[in-house]
Amino acid sequence: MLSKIRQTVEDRGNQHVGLLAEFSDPGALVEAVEGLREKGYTRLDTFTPFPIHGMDRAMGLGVSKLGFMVFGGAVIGGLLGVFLQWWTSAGPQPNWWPTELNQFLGYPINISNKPLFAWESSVPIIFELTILFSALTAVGGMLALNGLPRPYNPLFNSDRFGRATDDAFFVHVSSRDTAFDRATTAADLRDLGATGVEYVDHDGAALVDDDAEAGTAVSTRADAPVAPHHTTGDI
Amino acid sequence: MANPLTQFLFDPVAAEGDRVPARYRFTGDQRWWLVPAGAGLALLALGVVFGLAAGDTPRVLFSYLIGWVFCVSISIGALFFVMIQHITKAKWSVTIRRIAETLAASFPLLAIAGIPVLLGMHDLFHWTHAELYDPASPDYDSIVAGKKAYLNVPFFLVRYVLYFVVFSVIGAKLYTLSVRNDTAPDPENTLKLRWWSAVGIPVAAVFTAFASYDFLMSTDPHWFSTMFGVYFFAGGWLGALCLITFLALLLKKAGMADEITTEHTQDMGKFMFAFVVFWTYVAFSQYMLYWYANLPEETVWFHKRFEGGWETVSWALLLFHFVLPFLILLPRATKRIAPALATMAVWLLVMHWVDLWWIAMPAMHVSYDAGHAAVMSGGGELLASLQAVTAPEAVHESTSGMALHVVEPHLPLVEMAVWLGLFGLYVGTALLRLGRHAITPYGDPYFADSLRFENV
Repeated sequence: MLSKIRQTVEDRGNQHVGLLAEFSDPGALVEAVEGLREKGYTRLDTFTPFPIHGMDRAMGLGVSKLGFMVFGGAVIGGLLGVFLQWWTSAGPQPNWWPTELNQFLGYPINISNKPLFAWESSVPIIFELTILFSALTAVGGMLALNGLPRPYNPLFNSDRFGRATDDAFFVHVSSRDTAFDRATTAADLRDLGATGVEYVDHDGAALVDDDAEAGTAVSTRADAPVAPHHTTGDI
Repeated sequence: MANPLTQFLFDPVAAEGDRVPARYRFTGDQRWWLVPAGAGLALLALGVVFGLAAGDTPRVLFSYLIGWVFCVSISIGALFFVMIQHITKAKWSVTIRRIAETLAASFPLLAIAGIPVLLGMHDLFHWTHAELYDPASPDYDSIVAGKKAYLNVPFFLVRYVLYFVVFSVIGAKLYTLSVRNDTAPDPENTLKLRWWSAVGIPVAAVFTAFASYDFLMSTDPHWFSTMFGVYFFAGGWLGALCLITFLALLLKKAGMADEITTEHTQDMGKFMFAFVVFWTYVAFSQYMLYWYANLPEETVWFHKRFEGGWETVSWALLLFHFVLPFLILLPRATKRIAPALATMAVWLLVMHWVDLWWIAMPAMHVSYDAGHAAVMSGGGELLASLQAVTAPEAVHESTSGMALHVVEPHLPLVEMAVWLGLFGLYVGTALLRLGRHAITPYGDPYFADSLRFENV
């Protein structure tokens, strides 16, 4: 059990070890992802400056679990609202309760002879708490499902990766992928139109040059300084 | 249809026929409009005849009012739908917009259909009774008399004409400009549509609110709610969304309107979901404010609806107009599976009628005498709190001068027959109008964008 958890955590930390390929435009990226999936790659990730239409389908992403999490959060928030309203405005008043501890009980006040607890006046609070908990679950669930925040990621070793938030479109094939082979995957990526392929791991990032196509294993590692290679393409 | 006047009342634009490319044409036969219109006419006749044979004229008139207001509210909803699409430059909705435009062009016919309401005013609207305004009369009602400047028959008629002229003009403009774009595309038309929408929304908003005060709220002339206009709009808009969605799904089932895809109907489903919540929000806000203030002249309206069997209807509204549709429409699947979405559309249309029935029917009072007698003896003694009220009838009678619960909710067969009758005629004429032009505005500049639309 413990080893399994350790493995999962390790796996997650290593999931962005692999090949990072840059593409010139969103359309090329969608096609590349489709091509990679046809070739049997499953552990793919894409990085783009903006959401790309049809990418979910191209990557074969299923329906997000987030909706169900938010529904759960909404139900919990609503029930909490009911409890809060009841506790604060009516609350338990057991006769065995010592009077000096009354501060821990509810605080019933008679307001124009209305019932101490009424659903009518409670609805706004129940509604607000439902919304609050839905929103917090949505944000928290989104971060959790994405594994965020993650202060370190091997991808940060790549100099060009920063442009994923600006004008570059990347696809990443994890080395954990069963179909992954550094040389052939790099060749596959280049076949699909990648303008630059880098091998990224915890030690650094290195360009996988065209020799890979010939089948030669590339041994360039980050300890040998690599000049940042920026392919402008036709962006 | 040869007569230009009847022609204009029915459809302001001449039929296009073969000038429309085949794929955008309505290919259904006459049964499409004959069946709803014929069934509607039969049901309407049946309801009216049975109701009158039972000697219950007010009931027939109230049934007619509810059914007619149902159709009017849907047309108002469709009118707002079209205007909001134009003013927000919405692209997704272009393929489905023609159905809404067709429904929004129904106002001239609805104005004619409302004539029985005008003729039956005396039974429908208590405030039309002249003796209420006469201080010498034993029936003198100081509250209603105080509203005389607004609640009087001539002004009511003026307002009636004004509502329908304004709604008809806006509806006809939105319809003709859009239809004209089909065969003779001109970007100028889109700009004009935007202009009409920008002007139309505030005007129609005010007129919708006042129409709701006149047609529904004034059936109980003592009662008032500033929120009522929004409440009426919320129901009408929801009804319009449901009818547009249902007709779109029906057309698709019959192999027409391929341009309307699951993506568009899913968005209509989202709209339906949102406005189920909006309706509840408004309905509850209205209720909660009155519950909190607890003033007898305001709570009386809800009192009537929590007594004598109406409480069942009230709770049913909460359950079937909000809780269940909310949960059912929540998942993505419901909105993407056509039969599920069509079922929800029909369900919510029925609930919209139940809502209107629940608003109007308890106000029907066949015997005023009992109430007036109570006012004379009760002397306007107001009880401060609902909690202390032992006999709500007494409060009600002393504040409103009307007997409580003259009408209990019974199986509303006459009401439903008249409603379905009017609704059948309404849908039948709308489908007939729809069939005369392209069923989707293919000449719209945003049509291609709408075709590309996808829910991410």
